[in-house]
Amino acid sequence: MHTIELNQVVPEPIADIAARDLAIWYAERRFENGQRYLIKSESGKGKSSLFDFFYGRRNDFLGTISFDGKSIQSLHIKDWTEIRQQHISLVFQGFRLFPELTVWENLQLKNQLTHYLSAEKLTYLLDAVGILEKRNTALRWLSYGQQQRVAIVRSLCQPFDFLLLDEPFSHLDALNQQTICGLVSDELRERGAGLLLSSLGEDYFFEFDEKLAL
Amino acid sequence: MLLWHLLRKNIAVGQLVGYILATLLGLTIVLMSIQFFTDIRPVFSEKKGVFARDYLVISKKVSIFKTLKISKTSFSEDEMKEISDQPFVKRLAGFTTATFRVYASMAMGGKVANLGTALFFESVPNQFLDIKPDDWKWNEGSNFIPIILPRSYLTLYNFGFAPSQGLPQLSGSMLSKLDLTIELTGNAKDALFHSRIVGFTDRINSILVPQSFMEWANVQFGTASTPPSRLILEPYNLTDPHMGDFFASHNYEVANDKAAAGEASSFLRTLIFVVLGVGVIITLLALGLMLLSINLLIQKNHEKIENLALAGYSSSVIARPYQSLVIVINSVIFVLSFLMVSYLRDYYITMFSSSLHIDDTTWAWNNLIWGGGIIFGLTIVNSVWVYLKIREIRR
Repeated sequence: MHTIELNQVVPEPIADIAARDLAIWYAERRFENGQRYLIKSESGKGKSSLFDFFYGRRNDFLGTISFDGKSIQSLHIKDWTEIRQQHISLVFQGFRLFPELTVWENLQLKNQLTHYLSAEKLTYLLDAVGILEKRNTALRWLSYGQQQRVAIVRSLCQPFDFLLLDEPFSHLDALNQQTICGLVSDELRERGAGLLLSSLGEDYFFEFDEKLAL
Repeated sequence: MLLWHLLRKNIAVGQLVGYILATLLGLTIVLMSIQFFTDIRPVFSEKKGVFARDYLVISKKVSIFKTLKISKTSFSEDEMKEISDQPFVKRLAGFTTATFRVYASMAMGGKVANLGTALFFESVPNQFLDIKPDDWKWNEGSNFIPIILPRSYLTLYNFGFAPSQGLPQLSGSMLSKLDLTIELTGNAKDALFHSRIVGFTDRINSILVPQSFMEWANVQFGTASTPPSRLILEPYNLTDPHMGDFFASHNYEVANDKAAAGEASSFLRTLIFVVLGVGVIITLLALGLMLLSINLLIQKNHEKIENLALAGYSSSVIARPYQSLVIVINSVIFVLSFLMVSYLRDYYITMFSSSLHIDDTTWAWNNLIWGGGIIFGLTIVNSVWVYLKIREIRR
């Protein structure tokens, strides 16, 4: 998947109140893989909704969203399954991990779909984000910050053309943010993938190609 | 494995046990009914014994007018047609009566013994007979006439006549070895025939000879055709109430020794179907229980299933652990139910061994097919249900 295109898109619930003169809603907008986009706004402007549209969780929007020129309204459940396995990886604000499984099991559950990462690579990533010693701890015993790091590592356990991070650093300190940004940047470069990061204001430690206000 | 580890949470063991017991009960009742029906079907359809197929013998009531020959006791062709047109009649035939004199004497050791009696013959078409002895054939030019006696005559002789006259009691097979000489007289002709009793009937209360012989002999020694005065009738259903009304309104008399047995047979059949129905209902209720239980389980695991879908798991992969569980459970039920049916079958075969002969060597294979089919059906319904419920969560 190379491009995500938006044509006059706006979430139905905020169709009346969304600003018409900004970069995404009611606009012609194109996201290309290999590029890094920062999507900045206060909360409630539809950042998560946009990611939900891209991930097939919701389709209550007006206008047209296309992947490589093909409208996503025509996609079926099995197409979405493939997109979620191969093309788009999303870190949810709410993580959507499995609290009863250990950190390692949570990662395996994702990785066993495509066997994308080796065990060594997974161990390296856990070590790099500083939670290797929690490897065999059930997720529910981890702090939010630690869970957030698991969610980010999990998002790397699959091939993708676009990585979507929805306010990913809300529970992390600056040092951790820097480490993770470096790690994610390396991965993006290696895979030639695009990044869409939503933020309440901060730029974090990424070099963005475009900064969009919502 | 990881998926199973995650999804097995919230499985209500109590509900599963309930499903297993209910389905086991239902399936066992269904298979038991099928097995029992298969086992006793030969007893039903056998042409002798308690559940002989049911025939009625119809005659007109003999009244003073008939004795005085003012009205006839024979059935005209119109009357026969009227009866055979009734919806309850499957087959109908008249008794052919001999219109010549018959004198039978017993030959022993090749000599004509001084033991003889005047007799009468009747005949009915072969398909109404409950026995088919090997010697039951006659063709023109043959000097041998096979005879079938009612078993009740033998009983009458052995337990009524013989003791009072100081004569020996005879078994059917002994009687069958006696050579009889039959003399037919009529139309100013007479002829001698060899004869033997070739069988005993439980159904028809008359001395029977083959229909073909009778037709020939009536032409030779009697008046060629006389209308029958007794009819034999095979109904579709012996318990049809219209039958009794019809005969009563036409003043016909019905001789029906087998009515009670026929009723018993049809009662037993009905009973088996009722039991089968109950088994089917229990199985369906158990299926309902399982479907509800699947609903509950999937609702309880709603969030996990949603998160798996968001992680890129397809509905069919998520459904697989539950479907495997269903397959395992249903297979266990099938095996248990099969063992129970085998055990119960041994039990009733022993119980009925004195009254019914059940061929216990032939296991009803259709039972396996039925059981397998039902379990297969249940598994399919359950699996599809699981899949649909999981798909419902996805969007």
